[in-house]
Amino acid sequence: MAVIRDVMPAFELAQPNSIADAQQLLEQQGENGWVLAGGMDSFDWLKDRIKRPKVVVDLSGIAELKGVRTTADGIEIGAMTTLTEVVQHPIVREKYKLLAESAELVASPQIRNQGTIGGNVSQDARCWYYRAGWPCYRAGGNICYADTPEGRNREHAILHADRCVAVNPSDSAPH
Amino acid sequence: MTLAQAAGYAIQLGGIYDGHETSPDLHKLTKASVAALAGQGLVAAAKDNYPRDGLTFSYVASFAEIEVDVETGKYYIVDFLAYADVGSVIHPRALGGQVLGRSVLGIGHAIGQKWVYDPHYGAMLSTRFYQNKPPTILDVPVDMQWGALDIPDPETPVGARGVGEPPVGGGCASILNALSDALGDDIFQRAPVNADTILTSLEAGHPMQHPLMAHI
Repeated sequence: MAVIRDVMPAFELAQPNSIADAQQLLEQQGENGWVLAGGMDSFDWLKDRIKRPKVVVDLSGIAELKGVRTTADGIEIGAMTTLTEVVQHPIVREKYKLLAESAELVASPQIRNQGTIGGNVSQDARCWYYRAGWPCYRAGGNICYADTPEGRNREHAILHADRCVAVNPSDSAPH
Repeated sequence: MTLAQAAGYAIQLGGIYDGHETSPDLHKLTKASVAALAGQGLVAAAKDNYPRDGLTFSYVASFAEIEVDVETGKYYIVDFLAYADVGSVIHPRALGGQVLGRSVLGIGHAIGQKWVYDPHYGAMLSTRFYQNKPPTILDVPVDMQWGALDIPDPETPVGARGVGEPPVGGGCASILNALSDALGDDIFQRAPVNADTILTSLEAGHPMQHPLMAHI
């Protein structure tokens, strides 16, 4: 029977209120846990049923992780700050224009409203073989499906590739 | 009387009211549809069997102007016009929406949409929208033009022939033709045409595209 795709599987949702709680949960769960920020990366894995965590730890309730704060020598951007907030923040627009511009290139306004800056720079590779769940090097296997003469690798890396030839998918990260 | 009450009453009366008896002069597809619905409520079928001499089709001619940056391969659609031959124009705004809307779909085919299969394993690879990017309002010119000939079709009662998908082919082909006009005489025959296709084609002197490998 074909694998069901595009249907969210069942899991337990944990919504901690503090960083300490979140860390404790994730340590407890180990391999069965999954960190959920904006969900823009996670939902693909979950709905395609490639990753099946038992517990999903939602960080959206942790206020300390959000917002842009000025520090002595610059600014500190919380990992859970949405991309829209980063793009529209007056200090970022004034002093870190490049970050505002590159964050604005990400996807679409709706995705930027939900996606976080932390999630965006740390998102997993978007190689279509890897994302379809094929057991490649990146997934712990012994082969790269894209790095073959017949592999569909038009959008993969040419330079600086070791075993995995997927490119960094983040628009804000290279900057 | 509510609609439900009217339906109940029609079923009671039967005959011509609930679709069991219809005019004999109906198109055979309409007859089949009415027969399937008979007895479910108030059913009526209007005359739709008009004399017809052969088949009629709608046509759309599309024109695009693009600007290609030959160093990066990126191109921009500067201007677009789609002209429709679809019979009488009954509702200009709706027709314009359909013609331009479907043109944008065709443009999307030309600039980036693709279905990709892995040829070795036969598995579908472009399963999500970010792998098969649909066109957005940012990809098309701000001011897309459209028009219609408004020549009544002699075969239909109101002169309108209808338009659905024809602008799609026009949208895609006009971009490919504009690219060929910009870059040389050989025609780009496969869509999408991306920046790297343009750069390799410029280097090679003729379109460099994979031959079609999978009939979908």
